Amino acid sequence: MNRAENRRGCGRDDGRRPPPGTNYLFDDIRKRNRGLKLFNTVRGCFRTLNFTNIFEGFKGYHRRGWSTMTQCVECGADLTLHADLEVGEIVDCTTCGAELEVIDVEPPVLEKAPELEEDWGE
Amino acid sequence: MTLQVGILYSRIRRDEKLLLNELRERGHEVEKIDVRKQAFDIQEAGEAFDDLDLVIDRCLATSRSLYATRFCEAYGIPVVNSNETAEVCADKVKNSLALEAAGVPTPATKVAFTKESALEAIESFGYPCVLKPVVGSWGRLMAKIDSKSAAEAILEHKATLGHYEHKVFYVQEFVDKPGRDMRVLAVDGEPIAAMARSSEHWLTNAAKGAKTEPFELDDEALELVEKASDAVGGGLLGVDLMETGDSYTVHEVNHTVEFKALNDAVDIDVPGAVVDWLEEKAQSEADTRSMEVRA
Ligand SMILES: Nc1ncnc2c1ncn2[C@@H]1O[C@H](COP(=O)(O)OP(=O)(O)OP(=O)(O)O)[C@@H](O)[C@H]1O
Ligand SMILES: [Zn+2]
Repeated sequence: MNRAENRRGCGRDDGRRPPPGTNYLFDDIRKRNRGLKLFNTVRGCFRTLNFTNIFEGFKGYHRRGWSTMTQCVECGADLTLHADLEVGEIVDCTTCGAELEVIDVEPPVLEKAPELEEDWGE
Repeated sequence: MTLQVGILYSRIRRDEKLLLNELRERGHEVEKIDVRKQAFDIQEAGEAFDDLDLVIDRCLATSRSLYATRFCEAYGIPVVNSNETAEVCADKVKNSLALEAAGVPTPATKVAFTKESALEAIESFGYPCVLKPVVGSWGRLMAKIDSKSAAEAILEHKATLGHYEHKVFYVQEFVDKPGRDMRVLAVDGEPIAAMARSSEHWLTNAAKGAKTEPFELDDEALELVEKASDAVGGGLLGVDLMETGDSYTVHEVNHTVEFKALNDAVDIDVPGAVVDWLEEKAQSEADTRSMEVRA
């Protein structure tokens, strides 16, 4: 197996585990800290990590380690979401075919995706 | 060095996901910037742009891509691709003019503003010929015109129903290619990988379901890719070529290039190679900036 196949075959879409080295945990913490940091700077103190952050981070990692279920906002059918869901991604409802945009991943929130526009493309 | 990379997007396609995964795997920090949520300030960059070493423009909408890259440059953040490149590539007229000016073989093309003059252009090429929208992609709204009556009907429809951009008529000679065209992904003119896209249909876009297979570039193609890349200002580009029998003709260069189909078609780790180049690019930008500071 060549390198490309190897990389691509490492569980991206098998709904079980995120690709090796995918550091969702710290990505999530960094995101939360952005808000925190600002808030704390205003109050004159500085705190970068707290237990909630760490806990939330682990929870996110754990949840994303396995596929999640949600409902289609168009037809209400159950929808299985793959493991490495990404905000901004489009998923298709297997029941009604609707294109759904991932608005949030924790927990997953879907919305009907905007229609294709004429100036879209490469 | 670890990078802070911003990604301008409004939709995460498989292409963006491949990039995101590759960047994160290498330990870079990624700031996803949904351009729909931004209000770009002409004075100062928003919070999302703090401390970024490099921004990658992956906007799906051409208009957004053009403005967003412009803002990045105003904020002093290196952006891939540059606004200059985006401006040229986003518009088929500018694209063709740039290729022609650089001496890159490109299909004969005429641009007209009224249906009367467009019909004249079409007749001058003879049938079949091709009518393309100046903005757009994935082979959408492209017309192969086989007769005068078809030409009249299409022009009438465009003039009556089209958005103002469809009143710019981009007329091109039909290239009798051997059922396929080539997509080359290149970074500053250096190819990462190439594929042939074949179809029974005259449109051979991967997005239209064309069959793809790896394509070996010969010296001539290599030279054309480099020249075409230079012609539009370089960067991470998709150069599209057609075979003309004894040589090639470059019909366009894409600036927010999709590479998922290419990645599936070839043995090369495409996102890996793209990120290699992004790392080099960020490094050289950083070097230039520190030199400027010292000077
Ligand atoms: N002048 C031409 N003669 C024959 N075939 C053409 C010509 N121009 C384009 N084609 C075919 O039509 C397809 C789409 O053309 P082109 O790349 O210009 O459109 P597009 O919508 O901008 O596509 P994309 O941006 O996704 O590459 C090409 O893949 C090619 O096979
Ligand atoms: Zn549904």
